[in-house]
Amino acid sequence: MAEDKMHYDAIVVGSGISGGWAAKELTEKGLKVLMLERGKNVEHIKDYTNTNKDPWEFPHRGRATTAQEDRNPVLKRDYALNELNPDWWVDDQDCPYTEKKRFDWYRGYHVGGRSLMWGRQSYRWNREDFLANEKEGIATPWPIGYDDMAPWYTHVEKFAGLSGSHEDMDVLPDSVYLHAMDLNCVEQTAADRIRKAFDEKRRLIIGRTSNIAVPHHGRTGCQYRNKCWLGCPYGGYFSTQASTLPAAMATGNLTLRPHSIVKELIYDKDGKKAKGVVVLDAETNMTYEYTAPIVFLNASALNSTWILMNSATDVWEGGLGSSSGELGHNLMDHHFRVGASGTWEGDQDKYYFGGRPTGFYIPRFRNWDGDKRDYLRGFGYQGSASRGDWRRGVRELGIGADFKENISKPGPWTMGMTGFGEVLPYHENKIELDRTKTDKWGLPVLSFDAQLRENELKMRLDMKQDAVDMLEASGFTNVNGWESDYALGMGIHEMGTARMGTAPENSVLNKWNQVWDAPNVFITDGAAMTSSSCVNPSLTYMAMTARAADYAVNELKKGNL
Amino acid sequence: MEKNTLTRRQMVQRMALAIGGTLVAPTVLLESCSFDPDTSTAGPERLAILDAIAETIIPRTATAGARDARIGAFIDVMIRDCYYPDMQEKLNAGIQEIAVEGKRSLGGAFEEATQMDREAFLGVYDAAAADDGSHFFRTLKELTMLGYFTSEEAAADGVLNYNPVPTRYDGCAPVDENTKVFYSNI
Repeated sequence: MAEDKMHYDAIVVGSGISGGWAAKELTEKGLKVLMLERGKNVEHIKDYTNTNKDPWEFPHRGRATTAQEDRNPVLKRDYALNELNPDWWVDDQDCPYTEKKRFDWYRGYHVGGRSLMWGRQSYRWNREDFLANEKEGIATPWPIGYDDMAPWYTHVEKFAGLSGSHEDMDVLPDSVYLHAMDLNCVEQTAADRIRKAFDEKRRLIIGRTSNIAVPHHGRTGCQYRNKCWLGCPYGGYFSTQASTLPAAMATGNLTLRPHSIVKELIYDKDGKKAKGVVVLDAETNMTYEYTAPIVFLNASALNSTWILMNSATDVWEGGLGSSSGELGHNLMDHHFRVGASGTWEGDQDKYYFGGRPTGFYIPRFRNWDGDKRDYLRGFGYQGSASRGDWRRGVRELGIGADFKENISKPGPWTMGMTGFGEVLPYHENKIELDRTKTDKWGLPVLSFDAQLRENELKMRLDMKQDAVDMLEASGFTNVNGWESDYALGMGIHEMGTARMGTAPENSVLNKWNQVWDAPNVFITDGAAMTSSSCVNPSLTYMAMTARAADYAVNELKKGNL
Repeated sequence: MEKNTLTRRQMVQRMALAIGGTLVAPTVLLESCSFDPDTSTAGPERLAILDAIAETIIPRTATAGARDARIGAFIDVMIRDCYYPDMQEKLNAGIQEIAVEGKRSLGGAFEEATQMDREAFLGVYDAAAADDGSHFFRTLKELTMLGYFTSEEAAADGVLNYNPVPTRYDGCAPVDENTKVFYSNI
């Protein structure tokens, strides 16, 4: 990149959900911003190569081949290894890591990051989520509360475009919505019955999602194709490409540099701040130094921490932010894959049309509103009701013309749900640098040492039984509680390892997401999280990023950075 | 009245309509599907027995059958690319068994027998596979159905409601005897 300008007003490392927001907010406030992305460019629409293909255009109909499996021993543990969007999941050979204990790390190294493949469920944290650590004496208190975040939730929701229903529940504060999608008839019946059977304390509502079904900021909206994770040519869901990147580009203030791996921050120990970043060009292996008065790390939770661990090591052996003793610690995810399913005998004359990009949601009810369990915190459920398709015929008896006819018709209704539970921030759950192993670019890798503990394991018993109880109370039959293989990371909600806190002794970041030891470095992705709540985290990253960007620009103008 | 299937031209028109005035390069939408997924290198004998097994499971009726959709070639590709040697051996041994036992039991090549005779013969395997998820026939049946219900032929004949751009969601639509499974995705 011969035209490289080497100095900017701000550098944003990463182009996913939070990086995109940082770029948008900073450029719209007039800063000249360099956005660095370690992977390749993915252009909106043009590079969604599989999104308009019919199923028969995929030789293996979406399934992974053994060659793919051999190459990707981690990705193959879940749906991430497939034939439909393999280019958007990080190759295990190029980017290995060390598992002292199993950790499933599903990464997206390309412009847009996982904003292209995310599940889009979008929920505000509630007031208690920010208070629980302090009240219960867990980890360290959050330095911010709901009132600090509320205006920024509103700010990002208005632009991102959310779909959901107003429910006025303390446990799940309403967002700003463009519209709500419908529950299907069976889900609606279940919603009514659950509400009644559990005295209004349990509620089944339509999932809140960053999908729009009406035109919004130049985006057309959802066509109900159920192909979000292949990239949406209609801009149906919030992604960097559909939403924040065009806004940032429109200012004329953004430079996007793909193939740019940030190796470390350039640390000025006298000034106690970062001067910029060292970039390794992933294609040429050349290194470059870019400088700016502000650096936002949005490299995804564990990679933002990786950058800190590799920075200022001449001052602190453990890297920038390690003076707290908390860098790399308190790794969290959401634990799930436990719930129940059941059959619905009624509504045989009803069906649905279209692929709705969300299911239902049942907000947390445990340890809430007077309920008290033998574990802390709680969980919510995601699920849906549907009618069987041809897949049901595989295990059924039958072949031939009648069989073909039968399985071409809608099958029985079933409804299933899985809990998503809060994981506590344990100091012992951690990542470290493993300097004995390197990636394709010769850089040290992360080593994982984390596991579920007693609190989560106790919670999982309720996650199964409560799901069974709700399905039975609603009149489902053949109700089956299930629990399947889960390892930390599988939720793809990595959080913690550079948490916010009230003092340099208990945290890596202050209440404005500034690194205590380098206040011009802001981290606003999952790394910053002090606890995990049980709701999907991305909306909170968006709001936190916009809040920190606003603060950063004000401080810059005041000459404080 | 919603038509069950759309031609590619109709699809593109519908998409263009939905997109309205926003920025979508038409060249992307018109990207053609000349792509041929069939990379099978199986010889005629293997294709014949695989097609016959698949056709027995999903025969041609008023709509296309498994042979029309070239499911034999699809199964061959899947066995080659998506299964490890132990499973490949098990599946191939099962296919061989159907060929040999079929010939003995039906008095002629399995693939030459009538649909009724082939159904009667494979019905025994199907019953065994319904009780035992690890039975080789369970996998052959699954591959047949996966290939068939995601095939262009099945979509074109309205075997299921294939609608790649539904444009709307209705959570409580009525059903009649002609309602087909709504194709969601793979």
